Amino acid sequence: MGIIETLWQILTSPPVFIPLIFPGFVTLLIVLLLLIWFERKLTAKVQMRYGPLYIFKAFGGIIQMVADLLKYLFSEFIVPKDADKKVFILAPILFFTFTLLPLVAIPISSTFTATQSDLTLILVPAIGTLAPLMVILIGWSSNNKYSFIGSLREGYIMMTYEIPMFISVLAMALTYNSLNLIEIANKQTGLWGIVLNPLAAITFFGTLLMTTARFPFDISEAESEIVVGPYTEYSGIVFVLCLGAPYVKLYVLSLFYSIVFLGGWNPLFWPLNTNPILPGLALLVKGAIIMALAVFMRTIYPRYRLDQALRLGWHKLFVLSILSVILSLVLFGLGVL
Amino acid sequence: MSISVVYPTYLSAVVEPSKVVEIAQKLNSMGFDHVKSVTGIDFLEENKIVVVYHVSSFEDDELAQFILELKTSVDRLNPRIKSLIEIWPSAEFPERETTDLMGVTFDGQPKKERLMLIDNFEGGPPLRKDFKLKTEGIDA
Amino acid sequence: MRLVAEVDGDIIIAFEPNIGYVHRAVEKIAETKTYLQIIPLVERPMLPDTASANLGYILALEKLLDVEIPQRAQYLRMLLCEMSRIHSHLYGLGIFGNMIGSSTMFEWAFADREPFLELTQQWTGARLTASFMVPGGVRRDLPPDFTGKVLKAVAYMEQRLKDYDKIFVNNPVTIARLNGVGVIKKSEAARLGIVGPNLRASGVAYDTRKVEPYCAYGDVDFELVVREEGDCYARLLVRREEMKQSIKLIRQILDKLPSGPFFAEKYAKLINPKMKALMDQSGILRFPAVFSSLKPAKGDAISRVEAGRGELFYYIVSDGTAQPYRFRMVTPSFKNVIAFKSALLGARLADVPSVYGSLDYFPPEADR
Repeated sequence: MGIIETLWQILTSPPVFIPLIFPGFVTLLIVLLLLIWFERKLTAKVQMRYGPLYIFKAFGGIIQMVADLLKYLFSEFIVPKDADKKVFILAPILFFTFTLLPLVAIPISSTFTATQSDLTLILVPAIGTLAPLMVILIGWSSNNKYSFIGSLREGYIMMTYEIPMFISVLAMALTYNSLNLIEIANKQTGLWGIVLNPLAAITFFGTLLMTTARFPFDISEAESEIVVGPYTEYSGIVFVLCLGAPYVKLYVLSLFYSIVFLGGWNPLFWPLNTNPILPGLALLVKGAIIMALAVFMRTIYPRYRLDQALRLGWHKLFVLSILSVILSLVLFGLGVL
Repeated sequence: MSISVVYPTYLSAVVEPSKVVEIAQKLNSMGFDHVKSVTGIDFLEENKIVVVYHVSSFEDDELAQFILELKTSVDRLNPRIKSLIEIWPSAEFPERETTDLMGVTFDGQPKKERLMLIDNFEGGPPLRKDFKLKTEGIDA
Repeated sequence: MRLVAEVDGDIIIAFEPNIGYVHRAVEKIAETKTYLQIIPLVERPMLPDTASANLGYILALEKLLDVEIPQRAQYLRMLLCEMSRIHSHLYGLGIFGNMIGSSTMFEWAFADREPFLELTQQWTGARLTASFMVPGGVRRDLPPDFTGKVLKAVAYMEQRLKDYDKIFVNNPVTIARLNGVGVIKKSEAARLGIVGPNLRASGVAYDTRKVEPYCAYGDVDFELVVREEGDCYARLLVRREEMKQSIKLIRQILDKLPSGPFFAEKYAKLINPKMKALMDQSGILRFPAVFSSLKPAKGDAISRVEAGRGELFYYIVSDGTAQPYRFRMVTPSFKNVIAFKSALLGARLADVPSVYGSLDYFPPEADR
């Protein structure tokens, strides 16, 4: 009895529950399954075709990704002869890890959080910044000219979106006068962040699309131009890691977005602090809306050229983010919050 | 040189190989601005290859209705003729195709690889009459 | 095809197209086949615009055979050509969308080919390579209530063109990607010899249907679509506008369709009378025996037609036997290859798919 009780205690304590079960690893796998299925099904419906259909036909092919994952698990992954072998295998693993790591800093209720820190607002994007460096390593280690072009493109794009992302986060920190995600979510009982500082919300959403390589910023993996970009030489399970990592980043940043801009776990406008399950679900639903919006872009937009995306980032997003900081200072001066 | 009217919009002219460039320049200044096709016709018994240029005009509305044909003969054993690529840039790919498939050398074409055939193609130029296509299962 | 680009950073400084990978020796094979057997042979390279390939060859052959085509057959030939042109432009737009990343445009354009393929099958028996036109006329008359179906398909296509505008043609990313890219100036376009919508998008008002009207194109009314800019976006707009003109032409053709025989009298009287009775009853042609070894007059013949992608040129040298002495076919994509060299100098590496899609290049057609 004692052992089971102790195990249950450990399992439901925040430092273990959040990274492992919710919104951690288990939930991540389920969300990834559903997200990719949703993207393929939605794209197919818009494009007048069926999408995933045959696996588990009653539910419209919903476990298609399980079938794909099993196929990749059992297929041999080939390491090219001239590639840098250690980096070739390590870089995708680190890529996946760095996109997954910020989950430890995300709280799911005002009392249930794994990291007791006052800096969680900065912690989440900062850990995520290490991921694109791994993409550059992936492209470099493949020893293939198309991978090289892809990783160069990723390097350029990374410079462009990191700065507006951090400046818009800074604007929100100025608005709420705090860097702690729990305090930020609790302060949004009256007005949500998206209404308080819409400029920061738009800028952050734009950089979210750029960082997770959603259309129209699909540039580093542009299929018709440079095969698959940095991931050209990959096959088998490391390919799944490479392609799954942007989706993981999308999930983490969507949760982050819903806490900072959409009121976090407070559904509608009143606080809900009862237990960790209900607020967590509310957070997940809001995150799901952002994720669905981001993957829907695939059906609408073609792909930008690299220099056009860079110009967009520097001329428009950067300027917007500076303006959002000014807006925050004005709001702060007026004593809105 | 002789001109005949095959039907109202199709004029055929037979010229000597040495005069081709001069006539082409004159036609170019008249308004015939592009080459529609360059064809090589192989006459095995008469030991000659006839190179045919079809020219017409895009920009001149009156000349656009006509297609003018320039026929010249070259010797079959050593088929060389001056390229018209300086006068009409549109002749580049048709001439290269004729070199590749019929074996006619155009002096003045910048040296380039084969167009249609593989680089290590064995046998003579395929479009000539003495190159027989092998039917699979019967001859080859 | 292979495209070899020499780049300095991201800017292309030298560009060379390398073609010939799908060469199937159509011209050589044609010298071993009888004239009727060449009809399917010339259709195969020119997908998806097979009706124009067929028509061009038959026009050249009929000049050597000296046969007069009834009016109804002329109109039926035009109808199939225009339906084929819409199909060809849809294919081009689809590939273009896929090249710059809009998978929605790709799937929609390819799905919308389906009504036209269905109609072609109900009419001629084959979806794509119909082999519909024979020397003397066409192979089949219209089935009953076909006109209504065609008008419905054409109205559907008009509706879909508006959808394409919303999702692709007026999409800001598309405009940013294609505007000012791959410019071919008017002075260069005619000299380089490029044809079709690419030529008309650079400002040269040339369409073979207006210059030398074949079939009954002199009796119907349509506009030439010309734009001045010469960049990829202009080529996209020209193709889209040409589909509208084709729809207008189809409506006019169905309106003005004359009644009468669909096969020339010169050959119709050579058909076995029992077969002829079957033919008149069912509307399906029975070939006269002379077709198995047709021997046209000795001489040369040329013809040119406006296929979907540009001007198609045929040159037949006949020596009076059942097989041609020399058969020459110059396709629009072969003439457009040279455009790659001039449109892409100084452009960025990411512009290569945009220009490739906008020129509507089809490798089997260029290599024959």
